[in-house]
Amino acid sequence: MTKEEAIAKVRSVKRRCRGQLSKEGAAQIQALVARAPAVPAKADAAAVATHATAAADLAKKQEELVASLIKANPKLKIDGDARLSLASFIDGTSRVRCGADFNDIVAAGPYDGKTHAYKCPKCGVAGEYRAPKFTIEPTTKP
Amino acid sequence: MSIATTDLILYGVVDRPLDDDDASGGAIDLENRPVFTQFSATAKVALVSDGADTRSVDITGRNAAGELINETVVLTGAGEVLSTNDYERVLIIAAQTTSASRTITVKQGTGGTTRATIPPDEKGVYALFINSASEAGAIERYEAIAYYNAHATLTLNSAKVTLTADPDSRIKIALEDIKDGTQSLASRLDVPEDQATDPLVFSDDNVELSVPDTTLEAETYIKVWVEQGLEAADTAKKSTFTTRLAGSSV
Repeated sequence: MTKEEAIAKVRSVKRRCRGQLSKEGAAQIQALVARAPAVPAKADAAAVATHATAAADLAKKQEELVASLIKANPKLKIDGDARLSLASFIDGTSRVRCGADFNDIVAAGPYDGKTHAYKCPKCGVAGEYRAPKFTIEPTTKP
Repeated sequence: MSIATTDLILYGVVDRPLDDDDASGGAIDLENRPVFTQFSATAKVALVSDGADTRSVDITGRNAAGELINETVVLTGAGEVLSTNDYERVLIIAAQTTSASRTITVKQGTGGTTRATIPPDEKGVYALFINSASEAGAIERYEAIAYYNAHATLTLNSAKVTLTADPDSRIKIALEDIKDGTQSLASRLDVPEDQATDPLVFSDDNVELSVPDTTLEAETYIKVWVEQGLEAADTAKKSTFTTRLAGSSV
């Protein structure tokens, strides 16, 4: 495969950057998906009690946040887990739309099939993607 | 009438691996959905139908000790029936047969919170990446889900699929490059490919993916491959993720 063919192949699937989450949205999502720390060994009664209190506090805060978000979005259809549904909803509504062509990042290579970090040159959002794996033929001069 | 959100349904696929030796992917399975809410605490599974119903329902999950357990429960119509086992998490709930009219509700404990519903003509719900252990090095596994446009006539235009929540940052997705795809992997450790047998490109929740030709025609599905990437000697996960199919119609 030539490099041009590789680039064309990458671009045959449209991929767009969704943009940065607002600070408020990111904080709300983090609060919604936060989980209590792992349950400590039962032999340590004090640690178990502390854990139970922390877990109950977290659950209460999340319940209050869920209630306030549902109140603020009365038409929202909650499908399944309310916390995750709300996190998904916020993820969809609190991004500052970017729209940059993500294929620019993928097409630039490498084509090694490995995971690579990226940063959108337009909005700065950062993440990871798994690159395509192509064997590029060396360019030969006539 | 326009396409409603209820016309866009996330279903499972026929090859749902229970370990790394099972096949993964295949065609859409219109009888099973990878959609339910995980138990928040160890409890019995409570099942109730909405009318006369004596189907057998298979339950698979883990107990508080983390052991994989399963059992079969026989429905007693609209009366609640409880599992014998207590489940720390549920992995599969599947009726052995479908019913053309009955809906099964799955609850966390007797009279508890509803965690799933199994509508008529469907069998059950299930979790992805069952028995996915981390290893000494990083490891990726691949399983598929499928978005179905159940509208009888209308095409979903500008169709895009997005990963919208991934609390543990372990998930990436990719779309097959054809609709109604049937690709199945011999093992979920294999990497799914496009029609030219090149590996798919996987991206995270910052990227919006267009369905091929940007349309999802009536009664057509697009398969979404999900990559679970576990870090070397990763911590135990009891997590989930959400995806979204969006578009427009007349």
